[in-house]
Amino acid sequence: MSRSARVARAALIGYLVLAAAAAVGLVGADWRTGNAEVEHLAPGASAWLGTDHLGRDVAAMTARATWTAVLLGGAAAAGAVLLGTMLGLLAGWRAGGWDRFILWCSASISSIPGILWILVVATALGPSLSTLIVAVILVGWVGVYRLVRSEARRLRAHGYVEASLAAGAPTRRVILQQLLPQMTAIMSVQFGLLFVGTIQAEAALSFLGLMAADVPSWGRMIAEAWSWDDLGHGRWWRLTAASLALGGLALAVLTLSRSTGSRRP
Amino acid sequence: MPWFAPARLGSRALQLVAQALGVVLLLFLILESGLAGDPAERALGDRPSLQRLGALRVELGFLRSFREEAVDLQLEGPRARWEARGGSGKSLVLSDHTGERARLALRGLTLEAACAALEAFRFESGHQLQARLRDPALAALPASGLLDALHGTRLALDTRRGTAAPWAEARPGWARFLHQTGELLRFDFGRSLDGQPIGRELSSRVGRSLALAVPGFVFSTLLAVLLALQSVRHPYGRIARLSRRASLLVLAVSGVSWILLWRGLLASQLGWFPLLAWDPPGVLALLLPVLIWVFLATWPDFELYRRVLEDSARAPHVLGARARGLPDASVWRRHVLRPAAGLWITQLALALPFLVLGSVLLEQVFVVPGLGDYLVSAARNADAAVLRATTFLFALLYLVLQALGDWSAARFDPRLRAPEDSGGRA
Repeated sequence: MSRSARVARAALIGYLVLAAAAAVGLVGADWRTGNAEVEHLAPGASAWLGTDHLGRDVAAMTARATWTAVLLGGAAAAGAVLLGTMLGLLAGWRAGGWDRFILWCSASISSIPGILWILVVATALGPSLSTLIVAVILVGWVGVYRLVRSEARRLRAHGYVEASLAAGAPTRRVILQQLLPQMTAIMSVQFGLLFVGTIQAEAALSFLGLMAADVPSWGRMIAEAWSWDDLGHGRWWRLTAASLALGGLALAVLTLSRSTGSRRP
Repeated sequence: MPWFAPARLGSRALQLVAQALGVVLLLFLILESGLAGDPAERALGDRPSLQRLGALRVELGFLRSFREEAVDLQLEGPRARWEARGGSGKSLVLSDHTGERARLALRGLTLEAACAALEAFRFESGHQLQARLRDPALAALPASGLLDALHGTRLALDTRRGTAAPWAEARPGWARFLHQTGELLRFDFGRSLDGQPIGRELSSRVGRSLALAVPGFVFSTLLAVLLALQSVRHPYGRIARLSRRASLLVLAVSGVSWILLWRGLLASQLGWFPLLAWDPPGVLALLLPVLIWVFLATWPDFELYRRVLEDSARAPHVLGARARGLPDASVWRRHVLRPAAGLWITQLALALPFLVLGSVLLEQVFVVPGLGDYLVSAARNADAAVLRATTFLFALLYLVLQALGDWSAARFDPRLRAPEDSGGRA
C-alpha cells in the first residue's frame, strides 16, 4: 500500500470514528443550540470553528454533518453496488431475455443526465435524504452492472468455472464462491465513486433548496453560507469548514478506491 | 456492409426508438403513475381545495372530467375537526378539539341522503351543519368520496373501479401513458403549472445557457487535451505531476464550494468581475462564470483523455511501430492520436446534452435565466410537465448523438467497426 493510501486510510478511519461519535451524541449533539449574542463569531477559544448566523457552533454542526454524510453516502453507494452486482451477475451468467431486458433498462437510464434524474426523483418524492438515496441507487447501479456483467461473461469462459460446473457444483455456489470474490475490486472502486458522487450531490441539492432543511449536513452549511453572504462579509469559516470536511472525506475515499483498483490482479 | 446500409440503419433506428420509449416509461412511472404519490397534491402543496385539485387532475390527464359543482357542498358548522375513519367512504367522524363526538355512517347512502344526514346532524352543543348538493342530477350517486370532499385534500387514484370518485371520471394508467407518449413524440410539451408553453420557454432559454456553456466547454476541452497530451508524453514531468494532483483536489471538493469561493474572492472581495452575469448580459459579466466553468470542467475531461491516450500509447501495434523504427512524431500522429480521436469524438458528442445542464449551479449563483434555472424552479414547484419535457428532449438528443458518435468513431478507429464492416479492409 502506497504512502498516500495509508494516509487516506487513517483519515477515513478518523471520519468514521467522528461519525460514530456524532451518531451516539458524544460530539455535535448541541448543533441546534444557538445564542443570539455570539452570532457570526470568528474562530477562537470559545468556538474554535466560529459560529453561524444563529450563534450555533460551526464545529458541532460540522461534526454532526459527518454522520449524515457517512450514512447518506454509505447507504446510497451500498444500495447501488449491491443492485448493480446482482443484476450484473444475473445478466452475465444467463444471456437471453433477462439480459436484454436489463440492458434496455440500463441504456434508457443512462441516456438521462444524472442531474435531471435527481431533479425528477426529488420532484416525485419530495426533498429528503431518502430521496437522494433512492435517486443515486436508481442511477448508480447502471455503471456497476455493466462492469460486473462483462467481467462475469469473461470469467464464465474460464477453465476453473467450467470445471466446477462439470464436477456438479450448483450454479449458486459457483457464482457466490468463484465469481463474486473476483468482483470485489470493481465493487470497491464503484463504491468509492458513488459515495463521493452522493455527498457532492447532497451539497448541490441543498444549495438549490431541494433537500430537507432540518438535517445537519455540509451541503446545508454551504447553502446557508451562500444565503447569508458569508464570503461577501469576510466570514470565511462556515463555508471553509464544510468544504474542507467534505473535500477531505471525498479525497480519502477516492484515494483508497483508486489504490484498491490499481491492486486488481 | 456499409454504414448506411438499410438493414444497419433500420436496426439502429429500432434500438433508438426502444430506448426513447424506455425513457418515456421511466418518466411516467416516477412522475405520473401515482407510485411516488399523487402528482396533483404534490404540485398544490398542503390541503388544496378539492376544486383546484380536480381541475389540475383534469389538466394533468388523470381525470377525463370533473364536475366542480357536484362537490360544492356548503358546509357551515362549529370549528370542528373532520376526520375520516374506517376507510374512505365508509363513515364520517365529527370531532372538535375535545375529541370524538359523533359518527355518521355513509355506507349505502346516496350523496343526497348523506347531505341530508349532515344537515340534520347536531352536536351536543347544539351547533348545526348545513350541506347542500347543487347538482340534483347527482343525487342518486353513492356517498363514497364525500369524506374527500369534506377534507378537500384527497381524491383516490383508484383506477380499478373505473372512477376515482362519484363526481370525477378517471383515465386509466395505460391511456395516460399512451396519451403522454404521443404528445412527447409529437414534441407537444404542453404548458407548465404557471400556464406558459413549455416549448417556447425552453427555446427562449437555451440561448442564454449556451452563451455560458459553449465558451466554457471549448476552452476546458482544449486545456484538458493539451494537459493530457503533455502528461502522457512526459509522465514524470512537472506538468503531469501537478495536473494529477490538481485533478484529484478539484474533483474531491464540491463544485458548489469552488463556485462560491471563486465568486467570493474575485467578485465580492477583489471586485474584478461583476457579481451578476445577466444584469445586463455582456462579455465581461460572463467572463467569471466561464472561467469557473473551465476550472471545474477541465479536470474530469483531463482524466478521461489521459486514460484514452495512455491506452492508445501502450497498444501492441504502437510498440511494434516504435520497434520498427518509425519516427516518434509519426507514431503519435498515425497510431496514437488518430485512434484516440475516435473515442474523443464519441465523448464530445455525448457531452453536448450535458453541456446545457452543466451550468445549473452557475446559473443559480450568477442569476442567469437559462435552462438550469428553469429546471430548478420546476423541481421546486413540483412541475412534472416541465421536467418530463426537458428530460425527454435531452435523452433523445443524447441517444441521437451517441449513434452519430459511434459511427464517426468507427471512421477513425477500424477496431471499433463491426466485423462485417471491417472485413476485407483490416
